[in-house]
Amino acid sequence: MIAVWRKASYFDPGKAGASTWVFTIARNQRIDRLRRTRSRTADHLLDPTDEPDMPPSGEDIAIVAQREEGVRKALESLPIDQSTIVRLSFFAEKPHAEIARELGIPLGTVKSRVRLALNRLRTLLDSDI
Amino acid sequence: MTINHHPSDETLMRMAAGALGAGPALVVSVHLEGCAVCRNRMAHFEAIGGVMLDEMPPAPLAADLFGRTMERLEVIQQLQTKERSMNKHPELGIELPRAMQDCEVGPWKWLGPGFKWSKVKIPGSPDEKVMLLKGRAGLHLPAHGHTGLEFMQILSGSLADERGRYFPGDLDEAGDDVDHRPVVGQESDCVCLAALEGDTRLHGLLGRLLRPIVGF
Repeated sequence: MIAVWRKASYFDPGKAGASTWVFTIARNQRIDRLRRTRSRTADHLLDPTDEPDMPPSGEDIAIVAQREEGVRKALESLPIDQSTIVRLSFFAEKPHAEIARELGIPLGTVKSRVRLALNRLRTLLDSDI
Repeated sequence: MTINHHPSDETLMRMAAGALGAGPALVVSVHLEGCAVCRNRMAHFEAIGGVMLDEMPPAPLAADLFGRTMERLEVIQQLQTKERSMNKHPELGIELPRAMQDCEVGPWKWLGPGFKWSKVKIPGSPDEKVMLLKGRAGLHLPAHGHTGLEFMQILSGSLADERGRYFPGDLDEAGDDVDHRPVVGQESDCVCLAALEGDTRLHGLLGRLLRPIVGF
């Protein structure tokens, strides 16, 4: 909450949508807590040195909206077993071995589903880049 | 500068999710600094996080959250101090990428004939296996394999192995299926930033050379 407040002036709708921006702040907070330090991860979404006074162009905002819509559609179009694996490995940040145990499937299957899902996402997303 | 070797989708997804260790994440950050293609791919993976956040059921907030937030904001503003210490980077003879500016980088040390290394310490993550490596032009590195993932970003010069040639800006990800024998390009010395993930070790002569000197 505090972090979102403090970084609010860096929010740039020409770089990311609001949900994505909040997600990256939460992620960085978690990384910082794990490392017990303020990290400087690849923070291209909240980089204050990057053209601070330039308001985002309408085109930038449209590109962001298109990207987020594309991602949403791509995720929806994944077969359920693949999207489950992406969700688990992305949000729950579980190692593959743990996901395999939880779903009761072999580790190799988890790995190949992740690969299939990522290949499919890439095909879907590359077509609108 | 054309970049031909990029981190895998899985690596970028883990990076976006915040699940990549500090060492590999540093190498990928250096790559992102110079690679617009991967910055764009990374933005897509971060957007996946945003979409998932949107889909989560809303959780109720504590009634006094707003008040507490305002109180803490005042305290934080008073606490903000000047950071940054000087002289963290000895004379290495190269310009370090921006992503490395908070790291502590040691001086070049001997690792073998024409082969040097320098310890890279990431603040808050002292156990990460990260180093700069420098090989003189034409140096043949000992053949080696990896027990897990090795990430290597070329900063200057070039390297080649059985799988291709790597130039500044390229990132090579080598897993346990890769056994290689890198050779430094003839045109100049090569400097790269390398990180081993988790308990990854190198096997072969290079591993035996690194372990007693570098410690991993």
